[in-house]
Amino acid sequence: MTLIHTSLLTGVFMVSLINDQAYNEIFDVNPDVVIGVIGVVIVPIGMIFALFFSHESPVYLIKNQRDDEALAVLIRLRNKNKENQEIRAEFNELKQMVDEDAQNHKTFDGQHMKQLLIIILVKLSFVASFNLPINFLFIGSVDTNYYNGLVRLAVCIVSMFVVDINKKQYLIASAGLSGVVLLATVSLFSFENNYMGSLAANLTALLFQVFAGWGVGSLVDIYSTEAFNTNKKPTYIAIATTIEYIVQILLVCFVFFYDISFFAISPYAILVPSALIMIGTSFVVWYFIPNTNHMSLREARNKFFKFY
Amino acid sequence: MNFQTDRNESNVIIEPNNIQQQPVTAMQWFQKFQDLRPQTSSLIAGTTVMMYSGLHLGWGIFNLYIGDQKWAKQQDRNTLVLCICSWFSAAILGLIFTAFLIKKTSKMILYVSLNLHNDLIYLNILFTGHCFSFSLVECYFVLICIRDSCGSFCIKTIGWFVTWYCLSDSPHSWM
Repeated sequence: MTLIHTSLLTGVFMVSLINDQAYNEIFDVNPDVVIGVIGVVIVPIGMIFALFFSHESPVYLIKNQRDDEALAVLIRLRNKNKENQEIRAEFNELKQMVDEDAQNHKTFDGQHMKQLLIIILVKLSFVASFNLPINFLFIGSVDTNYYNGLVRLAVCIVSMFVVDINKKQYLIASAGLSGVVLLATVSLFSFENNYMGSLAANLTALLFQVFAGWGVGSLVDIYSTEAFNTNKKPTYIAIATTIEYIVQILLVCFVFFYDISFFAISPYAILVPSALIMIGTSFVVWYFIPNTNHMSLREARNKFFKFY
Repeated sequence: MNFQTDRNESNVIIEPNNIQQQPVTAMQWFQKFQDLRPQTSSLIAGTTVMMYSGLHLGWGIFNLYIGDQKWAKQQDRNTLVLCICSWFSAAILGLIFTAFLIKKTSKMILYVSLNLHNDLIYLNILFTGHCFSFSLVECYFVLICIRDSCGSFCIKTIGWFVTWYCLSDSPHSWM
């Protein structure tokens, strides 16, 4: 899951780099053309990878009573030549998970609605850390366009290797510290006359991208896959992500229709609510999300289910 | 610092069965990468999709110069907002349809059909210069997938209408 989030941030960083080069007149090309050409190249590569390297999901195969194929896929995914004890145990656990999930047919029962609400609140922390007004502020306050994207991507790549040590603590620290940095940014923005381009601006941008990139995006995605059972996961992830994107749309409209120049927007309008959401998320995660380190999907799902 | 709360976790007795040790040395990391290589390879198609989704996302909300682009200066504010929000709105539609499709269609069909269609859309944009509606056209190929799953003639008609509208009237040129 962290690889998926890192790929998204890679694309974001590539755009910031292209825009920085194009608008500093390093080379005379329309950045939209560059983005389009990259898309034309990446898409067939993705299709070729899908054809030759992609494997069907074992859970999908088990759900469709194709157990032999599911076992064969598991053997290939674990880079083994034949079945062993670990693979058989993993297969049995997946099968048990699918059988248990098949017995629960209600899509919107009270238990799962609580989990959905928690995941929505946690996803809003990613929106609070990565939206149009906040990005404009941090990109505009430093000298180079790709600074923020580079820092966030670098931190996300590092966190890919260590995030499984203690997911809950990382998310609490990441969200809480990002909120604190946002509040510090509000103070500096209010009291310092030449905030934009200053050392303080560079430092707050660096700290914010480091803390936010450490866990807010990727861990939110991990918890959204662990919290729900296999039958309800697509529906609930779709609902949570839809709400996330609706909030993003509202923030875009807020910036463009607020009818004053962006950098004159009071920092209290965006930064303070974002900071409060992020600090609130750290409390929500501390109190409402269980510790699921080193657990399989079934174990994590059961722990979420019994936690409330 | 202990973040564990006594409220509920003490009542939950689920413990992980297979606690995998976190790799420490370089050789251990290398061995772990070797073991996970097929699983990572399986994800590569998804990561390439996410990478160019990140390009679109960054183009919209991580782009300080979005209002300074040549095409944007010729359009009004509403069109600019629509262009930025088009990715999100198409993504919402894609989420809704995918939540339905993923239970009924295999991963291979989804990957290959969507990537093939995406490639055709991009080539179309390259030759015709119409970019505004690429997100709406992405919705169209999602509709194509629904057509393949449900076999509905109505969806095909709606899809062709969306394509015709997108190609015939676009507010700005890509090149």
